[in-house]
Amino acid sequence: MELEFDKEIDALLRKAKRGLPAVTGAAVDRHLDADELAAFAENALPERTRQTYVVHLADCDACREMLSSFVTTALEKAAAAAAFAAQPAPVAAVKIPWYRSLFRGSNLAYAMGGLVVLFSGFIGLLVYQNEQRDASRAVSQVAETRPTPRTESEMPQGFSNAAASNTAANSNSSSPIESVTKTGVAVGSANGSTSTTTNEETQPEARTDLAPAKPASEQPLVAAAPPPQASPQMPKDEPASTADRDVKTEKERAAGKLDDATISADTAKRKAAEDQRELQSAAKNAPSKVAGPRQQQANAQNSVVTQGRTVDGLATGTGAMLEKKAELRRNVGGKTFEMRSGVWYDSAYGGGGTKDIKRGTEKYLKLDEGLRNIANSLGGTVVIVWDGRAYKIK
Amino acid sequence: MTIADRHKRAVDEAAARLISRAANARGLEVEAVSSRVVPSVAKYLLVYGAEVSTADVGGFVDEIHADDLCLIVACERNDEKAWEDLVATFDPVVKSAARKITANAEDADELASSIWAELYGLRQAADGTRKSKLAYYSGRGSLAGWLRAIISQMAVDRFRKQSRLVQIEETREFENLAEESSNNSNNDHVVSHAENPEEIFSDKRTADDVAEALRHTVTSLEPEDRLILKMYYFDDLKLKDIAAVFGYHEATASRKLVRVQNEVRKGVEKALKTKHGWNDGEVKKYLAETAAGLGISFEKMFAVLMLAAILQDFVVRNVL
Repeated sequence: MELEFDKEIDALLRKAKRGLPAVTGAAVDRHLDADELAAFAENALPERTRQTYVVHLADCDACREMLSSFVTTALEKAAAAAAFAAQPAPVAAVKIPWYRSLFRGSNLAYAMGGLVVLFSGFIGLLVYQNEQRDASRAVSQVAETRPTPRTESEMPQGFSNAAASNTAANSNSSSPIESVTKTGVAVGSANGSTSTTTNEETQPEARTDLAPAKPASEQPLVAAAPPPQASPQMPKDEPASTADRDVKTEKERAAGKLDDATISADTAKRKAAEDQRELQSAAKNAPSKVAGPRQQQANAQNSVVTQGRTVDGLATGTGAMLEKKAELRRNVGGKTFEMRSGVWYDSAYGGGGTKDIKRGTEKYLKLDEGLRNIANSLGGTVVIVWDGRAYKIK
Repeated sequence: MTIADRHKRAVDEAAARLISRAANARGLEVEAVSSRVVPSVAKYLLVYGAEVSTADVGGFVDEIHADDLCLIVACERNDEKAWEDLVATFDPVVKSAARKITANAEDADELASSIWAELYGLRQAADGTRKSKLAYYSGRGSLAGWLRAIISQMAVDRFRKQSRLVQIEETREFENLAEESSNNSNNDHVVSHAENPEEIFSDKRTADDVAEALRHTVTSLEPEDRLILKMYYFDDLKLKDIAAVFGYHEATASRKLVRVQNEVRKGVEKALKTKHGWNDGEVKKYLAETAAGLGISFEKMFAVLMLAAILQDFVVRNVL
């Protein structure tokens, strides 16, 4: 029967390595000298002598180890000698298995480091691409919303652009109109604050630019709208107390928004610069009915903005918002209504549930006449507070 | 008439043949070679008694490496050309072997130069003649092989001088070794659950039993088998190298090793059953677990390597 390599005994013997003691009483009572070992290693001894040495070597660890140590140095005798003559250290290179080289030195470490750099670069690229995509999406959003204000409120394209850029800067609003009505004042003041912190030098310029535009727009708005730092040109006849209160609250809100505004200022800067370039050309071709003070204002703002000062661009936005706000606010039947997202909201409406009623239905007809009059005069969807209840007329 | 005298004529004749065999006899006369050969004959052949024939002596001398021996004899006679040739031919061998046996190039160079000093015989004997190691070269083995053996010996001697470790190992008590063996076995033992003292105790007894059985079995092997086994398992020699030492073909050495393994299995199983009262199942289980344990330790080693590589990577990244 053919015997096979015994793995179990192999493991046992490997484990027992060095565990087996030398046995005394070997045939040769002295250790073998170099000549004897060399001759033995080359199998160059008379058989009888050789057997004696085998017996000694089988039990004498010192001699056997000596034999083994120089047997390993005798590998490729002639080749090694020749290689050595040609090249100083051929030995180390020959015997190392290829996989050892993976763990030698810092090869692996460098490879891993390289991979890490590669991955972080890749991730960085992805992040950058995402940012770019977001930016272009914002731009396209702006482009989409551009026609809307013109058709709805006949706003000049340039102003809606400026408003849009503001919206982009304060990205918590979804549409420019909403941002104007909801946060227009806050944005205005926030922008004002931002301009103080980021670009003090240009702020007076912006104010002086803004100042002539203000009288053109409606007064009550101006009271609330200007930056908290109250420009020196502010009309004196405004109700000071309301203005102060407004300014205070606006300051508080602005303080909260300031961080966001500063962070987004950089992003806005780029977008605004782009928008303003379009705006400039658009403003030139603007419809004739917005000529006059508005055109002047737009031009004035453009001249500032095109210098690359974003904050001024934002200030332009504020001016535009003031204009827009006038268009989106109406007084009907002693009530003030504001247009938000295409819906007229009663200024008395403080949120909460509404009773939805469709025009022409029985329910609608049952409503109070004054309420119906208001709804009819405004048209579209109207949220009215009447006798302490909120109605949504569609 | 001594044994050497009896074979004088045979030695002279063989010496003459040796000179004629040599490619470069370096102008040596028969007497010079003959007198150099006699001690070797005595050492390797005549020590076994009077039954050595004249033919044996002649045959012994005829197997001597003629050129190597002539070179050495010429060197011993201070032949400058011979020394030049010796250094030119064998310095690469000496340096190569020194490199293999020492840890670094500096040690290797130092070892190689001290070998040459020893060979040249810088030390003067009492009678004024130089005491050179060359005198110990018999010519039975190749000169290159002998030089490598000298280098190994000198390296080991130095190592012994630096630390007494080797001698301590040599003189270590039988019991110490047995205990070490069992401790090692216990540590590596895959079934050592470590929590239960009884289990530890039984594991230790198990390991002791196996070590004792193994020791008994290996000791009772044929000397050549024992030598092969030790060279393979303890000195990590390759079968090819072992085969070269014994003048076998590598396949023959492999067959021999398998046969030795089989003998060890039989011996260990028998010893465990008869001397230590193990049953078949216990023996089988233990051997299987030992083999499995070795596999596990390889996996552990690989895991440690990977961990080390990752750590190294981490460190390099942080440093960079």
